[in-house]
Amino acid sequence: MAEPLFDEQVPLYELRDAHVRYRTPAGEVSAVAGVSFDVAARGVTVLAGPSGSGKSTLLRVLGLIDRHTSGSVAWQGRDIGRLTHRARRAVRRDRIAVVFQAPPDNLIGHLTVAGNLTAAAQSAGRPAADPAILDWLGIPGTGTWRVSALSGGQQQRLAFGCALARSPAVILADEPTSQLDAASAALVLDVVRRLADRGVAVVAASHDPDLVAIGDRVVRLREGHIEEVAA
Amino acid sequence: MQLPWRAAPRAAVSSPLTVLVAFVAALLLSFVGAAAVLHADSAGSAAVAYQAGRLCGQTVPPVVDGNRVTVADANTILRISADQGRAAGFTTVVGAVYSPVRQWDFNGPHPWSQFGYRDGAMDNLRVVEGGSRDGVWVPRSIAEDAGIKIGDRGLDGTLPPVTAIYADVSDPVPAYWCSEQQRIVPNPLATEGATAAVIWFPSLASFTESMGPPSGNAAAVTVRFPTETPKTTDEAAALVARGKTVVDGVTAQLRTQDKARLVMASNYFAKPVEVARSAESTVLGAVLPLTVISLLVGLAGVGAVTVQWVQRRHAELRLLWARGAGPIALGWRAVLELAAPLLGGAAAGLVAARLTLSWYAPSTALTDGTVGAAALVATGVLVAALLVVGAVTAARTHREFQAGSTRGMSRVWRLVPWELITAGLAYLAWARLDSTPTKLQFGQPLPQTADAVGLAFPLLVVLTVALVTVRLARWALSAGHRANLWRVPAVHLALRRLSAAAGSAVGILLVGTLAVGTLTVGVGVADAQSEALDTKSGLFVGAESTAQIPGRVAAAGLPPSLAEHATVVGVVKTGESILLAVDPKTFTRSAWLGDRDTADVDAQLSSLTGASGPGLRALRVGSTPDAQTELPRVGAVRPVGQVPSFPLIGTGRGYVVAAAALADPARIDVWQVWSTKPIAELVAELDAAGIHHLHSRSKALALDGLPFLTVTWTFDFVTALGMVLAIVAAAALVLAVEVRRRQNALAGALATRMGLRQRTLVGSHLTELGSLAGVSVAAGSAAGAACAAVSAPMLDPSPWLRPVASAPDLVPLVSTTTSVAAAVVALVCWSAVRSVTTARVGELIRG
Repeated sequence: MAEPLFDEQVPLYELRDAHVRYRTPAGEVSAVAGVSFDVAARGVTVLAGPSGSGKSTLLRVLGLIDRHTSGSVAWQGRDIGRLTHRARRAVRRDRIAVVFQAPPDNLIGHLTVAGNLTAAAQSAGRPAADPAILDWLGIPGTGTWRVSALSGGQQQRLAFGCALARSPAVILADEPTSQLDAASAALVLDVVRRLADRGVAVVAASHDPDLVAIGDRVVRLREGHIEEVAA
Repeated sequence: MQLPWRAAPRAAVSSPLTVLVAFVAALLLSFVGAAAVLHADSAGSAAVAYQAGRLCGQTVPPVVDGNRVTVADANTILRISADQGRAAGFTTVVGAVYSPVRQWDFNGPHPWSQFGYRDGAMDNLRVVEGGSRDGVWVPRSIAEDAGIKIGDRGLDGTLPPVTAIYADVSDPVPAYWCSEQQRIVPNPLATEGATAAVIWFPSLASFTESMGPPSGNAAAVTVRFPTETPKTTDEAAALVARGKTVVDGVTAQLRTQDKARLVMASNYFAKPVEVARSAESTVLGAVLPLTVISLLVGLAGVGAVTVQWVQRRHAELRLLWARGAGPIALGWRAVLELAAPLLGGAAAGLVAARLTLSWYAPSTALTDGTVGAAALVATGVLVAALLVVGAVTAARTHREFQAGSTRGMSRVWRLVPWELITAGLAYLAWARLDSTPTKLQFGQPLPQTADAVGLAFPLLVVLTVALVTVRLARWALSAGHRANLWRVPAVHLALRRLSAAAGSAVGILLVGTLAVGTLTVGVGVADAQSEALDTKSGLFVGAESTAQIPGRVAAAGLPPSLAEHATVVGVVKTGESILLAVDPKTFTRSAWLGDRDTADVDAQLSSLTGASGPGLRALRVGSTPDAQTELPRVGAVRPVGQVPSFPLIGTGRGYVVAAAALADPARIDVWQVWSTKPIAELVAELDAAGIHHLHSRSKALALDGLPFLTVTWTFDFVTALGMVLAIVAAAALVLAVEVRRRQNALAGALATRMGLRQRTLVGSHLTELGSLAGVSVAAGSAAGAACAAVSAPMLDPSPWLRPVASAPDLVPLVSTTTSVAAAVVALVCWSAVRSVTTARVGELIRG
């Protein structure tokens, strides 16, 4: 019998002395240097810190996009360092949604808005996305539009809509408001908050104070180390 | 199937440039693969056509000949042969029967003559008097010599009356008579009574009735089965198979009557069919290495297009991957998007290969099923291209997203010493060429050296040079990162750009050098063999056409119409040398001199007519001793000059003297007329002038050119592949600039706003693109020319017949290549500079 992929009673992530090191022409760089914390299955967790603090790297490790170099990172109690490529893809496909920094990077440009929602739902093996999701995102009537017809803020909200359409256990968002103006960013933050209210765990990497402010937990990073974990 | 995959084919239209490049890449790939198949088959067809053209058309199908038979037996042979021929599908059967050559009585005179009947003979004679078909037809020569008139009856009045006098059939004979030439055109040099013109009966029945008893058992019979000349090897093989049925059937039936020994039934075209098939397989084997290399280059091009596509679709691929799609699924996504342009390109390439067959292949006739085979190859190439697209995408996404490293096998591939491997293979091919004696084997279209391995030698050298060029360029570009040439800003900028895009730069260099090299070696070797065949044929015959004429005509001089393009040459052949007696005033305008300067030859010949001393003034040819010598029929000759070769004598031993200086022209063995006109025109004019002639020869048919042609066909295809590669190289240059158009425009626009002069900008692009094109042309031309010079004599199928093939003057080709490369560079440079001058910096920065 297949192992269940998600259990709400177990923390989503458990990081213990996790390290991520890169090789560069200048030598080895430690982007994440021995961090340990848990990510709960609900609420908004913000990885905060200045540029170069390791928050985006850490987010990619949580998204099973990059691998940690040492220590342990567990997903639902299972050490993801031991997972095969296929198993990692299965976790990403069924339980994780990622929202990248640049709005166009989260959408498929040659599909319509509705097409993007459908593609996102299909990618996780879900039924077609609820058409009402556009109303919920604040971009009603745009289903037949090309993605390029949306503004940056609308695109980023649609990106969260796509993530929602996948019904993930967690949405990982990397600097989701950094390329938006204040008004658009506020709308995106509203969507993030409401996603959390619907029971979806959100982990966001950001140095945007407004985003940090809506976090249920804030993990402050500096030079790869945890500076502070605040509730 | 999920939406992103389902919508992939439509997504292709969002990037017209990628679609176009994928289409063109598949077109060229498919063209190369299909053209190789079509070309090889075409070579077989051309070999069939060439050999059929050298034979009498009536001897291409089976032939049945019988000698020393009774007229009754001749009738039996004719009947059985006709039955067997029709049973084998030969709808036309031409039978002939001839009496022996005798001094048959014709009311007193007894001219040497023979009687004959041939189906359709009277339809193929030119009547000069009379014309009724109920009597015998007499040739004019016999009628005039024996005083025979219309209405006369020979053999004591037992023959039908003479109802027509016809013009003698002369050499070269029309197609209808070609198989009968030996019987119907008298040879004045033959023993008296051995040959004679024919008096034709109107029917077989009348011949049988009149000639049965007097011919005894000395009649001759011939049966021909004229049919359409086969155009392909399969058609030829089918004809030979039908011919075998006829030959076997006739022999078997005659054997039952114990008369099989009376005939010789033959299938002369069986061997040419074998030779044609051998030529076909040789050409295919020879073009295969470069075809494979070209296909690999093309597939590498498809790989490059895919890499470009991966870069364009990077965000979407990353998104799909982040959503759980694996590398194979992403590779499938790429295949779905690029399949349509690749399929379209492959189809277009196949169509182009078929439609342009006459441009690159020696014949447009193809065996049934060849186009299907070419389509299969094109399909295979398409499948390979799709696999490359899928595999490259899968590999790139795995490496970038999954393995977390952008460095991989490319470094390992770079470390492999490819140039040493190809150099080793080239050395092995050369050693084989060098150690194998150049000789033709019976029934083989090529000398032993000119097999696939031998023919691959020049291509391996070109490939080695291209790889060495790439290796050196890579090192230079690595060093270019550190070079500081700001004193020459244009060069500095060019070097920086080249170093930053080293991958595409060395790719263009590789394809460019390979293209120019193969183009040069292809043209060089093909032209060398063509020129060698032309030169050898020219030297062998002496002129475009020649014919032997009576000495009295030579003494009296040619009629004005002939004198315009012909000269008279006396020929004396001794055991060791050939002596030619020429007319210095008309010789150079009529003889074949190749690329020799007419004025030089005129000057040398004029020295023969100077004041006479002891002996006849002569030019000695080749290594003929420089000493006065005594020759039969002409006496003493005294060399006053030397020429390395001379028409008819070649590079062998011989002398050239002035005919006017001969003491006794009547002692010359043979007088010939040499003309610049084709043989048919020369003969027609001789006939019109009433000059009897024989032994006519044509430069075009003097030598069996098939071995030369096979080498030429092979390298003609190499040339075609070189042109395809050149197109790829030019397209790669355009693409390399186009893909970084935006980056280039932004950098250029900012630099010009910071004070970079327009002249420097143009200069930097010209230096960048010109250095790539220049190195390609220089390295490729040098390698190609050197290989052609080395290979051409080694691939000469008949080196014993001088001069040996040598590489032609390649300066015009190199000049053309350079000009085209310069034009491409100028065009691409203009495009790059225009993108800078028309750039809107604000939009570029915003993205």
